[in-house]
Amino acid sequence: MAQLVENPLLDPANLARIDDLSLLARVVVEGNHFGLHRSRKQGHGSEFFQYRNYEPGEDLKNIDWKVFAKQNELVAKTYEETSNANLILILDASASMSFQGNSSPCSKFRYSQMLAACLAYLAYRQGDRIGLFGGNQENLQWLFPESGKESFKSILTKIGSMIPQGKDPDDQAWEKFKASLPAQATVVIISDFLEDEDRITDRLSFAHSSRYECLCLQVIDPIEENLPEMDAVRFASLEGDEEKSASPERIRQEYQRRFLEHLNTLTNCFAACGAEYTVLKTVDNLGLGIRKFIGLRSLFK
Amino acid sequence: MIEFGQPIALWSGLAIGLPIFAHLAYQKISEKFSFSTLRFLETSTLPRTGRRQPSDWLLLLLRILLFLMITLLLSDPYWRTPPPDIPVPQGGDERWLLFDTSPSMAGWNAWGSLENTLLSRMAEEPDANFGLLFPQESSLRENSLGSSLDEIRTTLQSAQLQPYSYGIQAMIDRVIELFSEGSRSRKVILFSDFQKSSWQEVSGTLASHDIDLELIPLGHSSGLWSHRTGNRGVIETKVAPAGSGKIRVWSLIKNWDSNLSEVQVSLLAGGQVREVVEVSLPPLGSAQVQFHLPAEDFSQALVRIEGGDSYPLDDNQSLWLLPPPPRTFGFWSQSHSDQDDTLEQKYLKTAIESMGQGDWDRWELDQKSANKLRNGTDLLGPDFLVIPGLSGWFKDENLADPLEHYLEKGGTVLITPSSLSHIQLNQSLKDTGLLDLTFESFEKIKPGIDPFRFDLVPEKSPLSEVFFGVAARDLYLTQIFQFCSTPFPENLQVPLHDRSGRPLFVIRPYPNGGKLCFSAFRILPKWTDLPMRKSFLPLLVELCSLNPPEDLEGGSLRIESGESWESSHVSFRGSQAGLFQVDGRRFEVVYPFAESIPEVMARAELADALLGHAQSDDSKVTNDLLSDTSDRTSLWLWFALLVAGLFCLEMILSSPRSVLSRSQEVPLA
Repeated sequence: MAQLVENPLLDPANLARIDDLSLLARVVVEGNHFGLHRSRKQGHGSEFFQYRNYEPGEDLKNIDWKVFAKQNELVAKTYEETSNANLILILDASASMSFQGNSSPCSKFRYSQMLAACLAYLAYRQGDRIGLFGGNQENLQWLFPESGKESFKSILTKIGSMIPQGKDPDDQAWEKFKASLPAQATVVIISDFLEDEDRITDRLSFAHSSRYECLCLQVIDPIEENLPEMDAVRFASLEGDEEKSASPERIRQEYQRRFLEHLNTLTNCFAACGAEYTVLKTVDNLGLGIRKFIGLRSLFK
Repeated sequence: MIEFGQPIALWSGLAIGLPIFAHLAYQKISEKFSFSTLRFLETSTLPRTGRRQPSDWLLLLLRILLFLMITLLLSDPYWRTPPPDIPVPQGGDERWLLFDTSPSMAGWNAWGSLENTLLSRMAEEPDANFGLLFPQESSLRENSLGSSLDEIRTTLQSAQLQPYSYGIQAMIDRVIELFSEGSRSRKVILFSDFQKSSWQEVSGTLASHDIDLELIPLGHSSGLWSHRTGNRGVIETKVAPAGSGKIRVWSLIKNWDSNLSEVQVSLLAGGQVREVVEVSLPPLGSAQVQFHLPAEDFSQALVRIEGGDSYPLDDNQSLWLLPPPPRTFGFWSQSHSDQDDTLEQKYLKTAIESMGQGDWDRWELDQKSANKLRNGTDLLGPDFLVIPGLSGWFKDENLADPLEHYLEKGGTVLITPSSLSHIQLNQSLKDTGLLDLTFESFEKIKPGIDPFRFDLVPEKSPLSEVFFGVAARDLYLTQIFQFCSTPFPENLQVPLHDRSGRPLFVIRPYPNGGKLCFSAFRILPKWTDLPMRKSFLPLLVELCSLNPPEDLEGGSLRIESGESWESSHVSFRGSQAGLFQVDGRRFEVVYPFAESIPEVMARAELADALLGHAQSDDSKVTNDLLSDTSDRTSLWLWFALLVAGLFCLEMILSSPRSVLSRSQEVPLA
């Protein structure tokens, strides 16, 4: 584990330079988490996986007779086993996610994109169906869970094309989303969760059901915890025209108290919903989030 | 050495405190910081950090220097070469005593107290050299500096009040020249009632000539430098016919007091009081009184306020009671008059004599005066001269010169053409230069054809004010049977023409009011039916401007003392109040109305005006500029260039040097 944390390939400062999310996910997952997750199952599926030597006693229908006719060698075809597990990634692309502090290697949204890509890759490797919900009020995305490579690529493309702006999807969109959820799914929400806690409780009402496991990954910037080191600042909200002038020095203590109180409220709120909850900072390496996800899956299994 | 034209502007140098304050009061500007949410933020006061030491010393010094340069620039700096030492004057104390001789000094015992006051003042400075200056008889009278008390007393006793306000400004201007160069101290001591109308427009520049001023008021009855009380005056008198055998004298009495006043006003004629009227005068108002006298019994009268008051000069006013002398007219005609000439002359004589409206407006034939004018023995002539049937005889008798002289003096002449020949008429007019006209022919009506008629009087013509309605129709229907035809003349007035546009009446005006009127037709029934019509006399009066002059009231002319009146043959200057008759013209001279006004000047206002305080600095500067331009060089341009250079440098130094990063702060100062 210690190796994972120190691994520079998980450092968001390095990973943020990789534009291709597919490559990024493969680098992260293949390079660092090999063996930590289940490999793809070979079994009775519809999608060809690979050839292997035919073992005597095995069912003859696995033999590829065409290869035998050409090479006089018995080889058996193996298929990817399709699972019935669904992973639904919920990615917040509201304007607040675009925040990037002075010391952070990337914005909160970029960090979330990278994390979402990695999780999608993990699920893809396991043959899970992957769905995507998220975006913002201007550009709302809802891809119903599907399996396969094309679906995976589509998911990555959508994640890559999102631009953090405006406000997060409204309650109406959430209601539609909840109504169209598959019967069973793992739902991973990547967001800064800076909105009102009551709304979060409403939106995660589905997590009460035992058919859904829910992981909430809160991505925050270190500056959001401590405020910038400046004498006087005119704070402008990323999600509106509101402005407040303040001296961070003078309000830091009160701010930190309020922020911590918010995190505690969120913890209680998610616990009440039956959702797992983890706070990730944009300076943390991606392994933390991935391990949290893998841990959740193991727990579920 | 550097001197300043506007040293008071050096006070603006205090503005160097501004950049120092700005640099000390250094303040950080909060920068906009986009943040994910403002939920957990609360507003707080922004820190303002003052500094014990100014920031950016170089910029501060530059700005202080800039402000100093602007201060010097505003102070109009110039370089002046020190003048050579001027010896300090070692003369004595010079005092010029000035006093006022305007009529208002007669009131409130101002004139009576003058001598004692002035001599007492002289006694206060026995060592000073005194001079005396005052207006007298349209000039200034002087007693030179160093005059003794007796000399000045003698002069004072011979001084007289003037019937009009004269020479106060000239006196102030003159006294400046009378001080000697080496005098130790200079002072003008003014004795006057400082009556407002006499002094309100007087100004001086005594201060710029280092002359002190002392104002000694006289005749300020109720307290020095306050308005005087107790004056009532006759401000207007008029006479007019009032029915058969009577005349009415009308007078306006003014109360200058702010209290109601009851006065008796009497009319004196023939050395006796003929009528006394009591009248109540409202505060600061006026009232009319009327008297009636038999006509032709008295030639003059005096309206008088009984009881007297503080200013006696305006308590009475004399007036002529006689009707005005008749206006005169005469004829010039050829020695052997033909029938037409005689007929026209007779007709015109009758007509002109009937133009008057009674005794107060009469016309009288004065052929002697006309003949004297014709002979050159008297160039005055009558008021109106008629030359019927002008022809060659006019030229032969060399009458053009006296006629021109008469016209230039303002006389009025009516000329009618001869019945004989228009050629001789042309010759006479051309050769004498009277009228630049050439008559082409006699136009006569032919049998069976309508006669010529006057055209409509144009709306803008002065005649249209007289001829409208029935009168206009009468004139329009007037027939002309024959007339001298001429093209429309240039530079001459043509008030009447026929319906074909040919001139029927031509007027040549002269600068002094003279008027030469030429009728293209004769005033004879053979030529026109105009003499038979009602419109004839009004037309003659209007065309020849024979209306009585408006400035004559009852035949006499009222002027204020000091004023002059001139006409073609009368010149008169009203040197004192009273009744006068000059060459048949009657004058009523009254004291100036403005002198009756009891207001006096405010002391400070008068002193400022005479000393020229408001202008003294400017005039000093101007005088300096005029006298010392060779000794001084303006540094204004150099300082302006310096300021401009410093300003550019300041802008360069204070401009942002690079793009600020998010955490950098922009200094305000």
